[in-house]
Amino acid sequence: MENLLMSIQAILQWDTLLLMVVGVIAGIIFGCIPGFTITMAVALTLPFSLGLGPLEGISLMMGVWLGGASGGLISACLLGIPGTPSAMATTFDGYPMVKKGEPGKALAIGLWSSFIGSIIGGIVLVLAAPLLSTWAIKFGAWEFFSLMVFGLSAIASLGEGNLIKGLLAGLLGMFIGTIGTDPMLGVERFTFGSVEMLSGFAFLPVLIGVFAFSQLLSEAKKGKKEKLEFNQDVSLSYPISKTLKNMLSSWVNVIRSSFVGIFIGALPGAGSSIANILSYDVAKKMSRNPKKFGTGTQDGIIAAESANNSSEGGALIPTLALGIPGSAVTVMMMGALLVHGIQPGPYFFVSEPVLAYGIFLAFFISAIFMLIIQSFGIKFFLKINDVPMHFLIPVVIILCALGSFAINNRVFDIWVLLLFGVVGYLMKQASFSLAAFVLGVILGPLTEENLRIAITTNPDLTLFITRPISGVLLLLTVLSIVYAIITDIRHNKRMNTSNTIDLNT
Amino acid sequence: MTKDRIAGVVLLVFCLFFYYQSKLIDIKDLTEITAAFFPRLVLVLIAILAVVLIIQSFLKKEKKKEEKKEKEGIVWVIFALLALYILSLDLLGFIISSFIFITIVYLIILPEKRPIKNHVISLSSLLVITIVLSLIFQNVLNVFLPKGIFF
Repeated sequence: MENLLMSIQAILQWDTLLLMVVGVIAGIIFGCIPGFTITMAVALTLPFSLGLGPLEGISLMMGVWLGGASGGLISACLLGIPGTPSAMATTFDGYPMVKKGEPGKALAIGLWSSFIGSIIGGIVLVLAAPLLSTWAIKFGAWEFFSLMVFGLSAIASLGEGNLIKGLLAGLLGMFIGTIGTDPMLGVERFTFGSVEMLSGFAFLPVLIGVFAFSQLLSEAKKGKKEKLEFNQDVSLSYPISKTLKNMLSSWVNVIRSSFVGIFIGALPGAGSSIANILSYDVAKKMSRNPKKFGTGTQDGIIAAESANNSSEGGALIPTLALGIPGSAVTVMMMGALLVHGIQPGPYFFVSEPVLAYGIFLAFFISAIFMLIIQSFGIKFFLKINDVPMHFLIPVVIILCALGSFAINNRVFDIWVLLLFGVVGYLMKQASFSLAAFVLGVILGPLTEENLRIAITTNPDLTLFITRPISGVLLLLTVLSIVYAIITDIRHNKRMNTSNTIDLNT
Repeated sequence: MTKDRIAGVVLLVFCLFFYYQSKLIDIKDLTEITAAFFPRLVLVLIAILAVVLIIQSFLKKEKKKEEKKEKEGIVWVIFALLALYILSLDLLGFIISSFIFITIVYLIILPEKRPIKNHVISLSSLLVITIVLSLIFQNVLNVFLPKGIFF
């Protein structure tokens, strides 16, 4: 309780609140520009938080994150294209509803669903994360090693794309993580005699290179995008009382979708981009009149928007309590915590209670700001889409370079940005999972450390299997890989049959 | 050659190179596992999976994707420009290099050619943004950007 009061006191400072407002605005802007993702927004705003204290910095990042998750709905509803992948399912009903002449209603329902989803996700986060961490505090080096192996294999096998490539991406990331000084003995590894390489590659330029820079270039080569027009004169206002009444009439859907989102978010390997589609699907199957879905029903918007926001609360549970992020965006948030010198994991809640509660508070306050700012600023955010891509890209490139430079004040890190921009771009072209790669970079050194501590403590390798929790985690690792192999085979069979049908017709 | 096969071969070469490099790691015989153990373990796993990827690429028929009309070359031009930009930073300083760099990027990704007059506003806003960003980083965030020889 005392800690909570201290956190409240720490966070209710004018500058911290202002930072969250700025973060939310930045997040919504990135969220509503199609082609720009939340991951990119977090990567690019992170450098600005470097000069701040940990709580202020993380508050800013929370704002960006939550703002980004709901910003996608503006372009999803009004233009029919999702501003971020996590607003994909919002277009299914949001756009038809706007076409039916109710843009105000679509936006208001989407926004309130985002808000309520965030709040429910936040409550579950506050209850579940400390519980999970008290359980995980008994973990020894064996359990941590197995947990990280599981986290990496899960993101590789349950995430998008091919299993082998996912695992390769994760391992490659781990190898990149070994470059620099060895964590146990201080021996130089693969530094090629360079002083700059002694500390290895800094997270930040690697993250910016992989998630922002390479992403940006894929946008740059697309050339001319079709001009999207929206009639600016249409009234976008919709009374709050009516919105709440509408929401209340589908309260089961709101709560169910939020919990679907939390569950998907908490699972390793899946995030808000999967949560919104799955939740839409669940809502459609459970609905009494599923035929209405896709024609502009409010339940479709509610399902998608409450799930994509609540999944963020869910995703923070394993990230904070175990130090294992499950999706690209949470990998970025974990990077943000690490850059501020915070090591998430079981000891986090015990050693930094004020900061931990502060993060929870920042989550809720950002959700409230998101609701207010987006309610009043929708016209402004819609205008952002008029700014041409060929103007935005150069600005963002400069932000990438500045951000990479800022972490250590050295030009070397811009070279790192370039290197990982190229690596990220090539990996994306060959459809390797970027999230798995970055998770490997972040977890690699920890995995190695735990492996070496475990074996130094007791050279008996069977302990990894005979210690119950460690054994179960390794079993889950095997299961997730087997599951991925089975779905892969099924997928190929289906592809083959569909090919033959194509040939016959 | 499919993309997977190229990726597999590149990864194998990568593993061989770094495995050879790992022999240079100073192995102090103090602990059960040496500093070279983990990187080597990871490299061996990568190599095994890379071989699987190559074998797979022979078994699976490559699905032919329709080529999108994308200007692939632009990406590599931007990479090269970024390298030149980094090299120029110490000479010209942050503001001048950045402005030249993003102006060139702006001009090459323009979807259609229009008279220069139309770009004056965009380009001057790029200049303003560069200056504002450098002021924020230098004065608020205490980051010392390369000054160059002119200042």
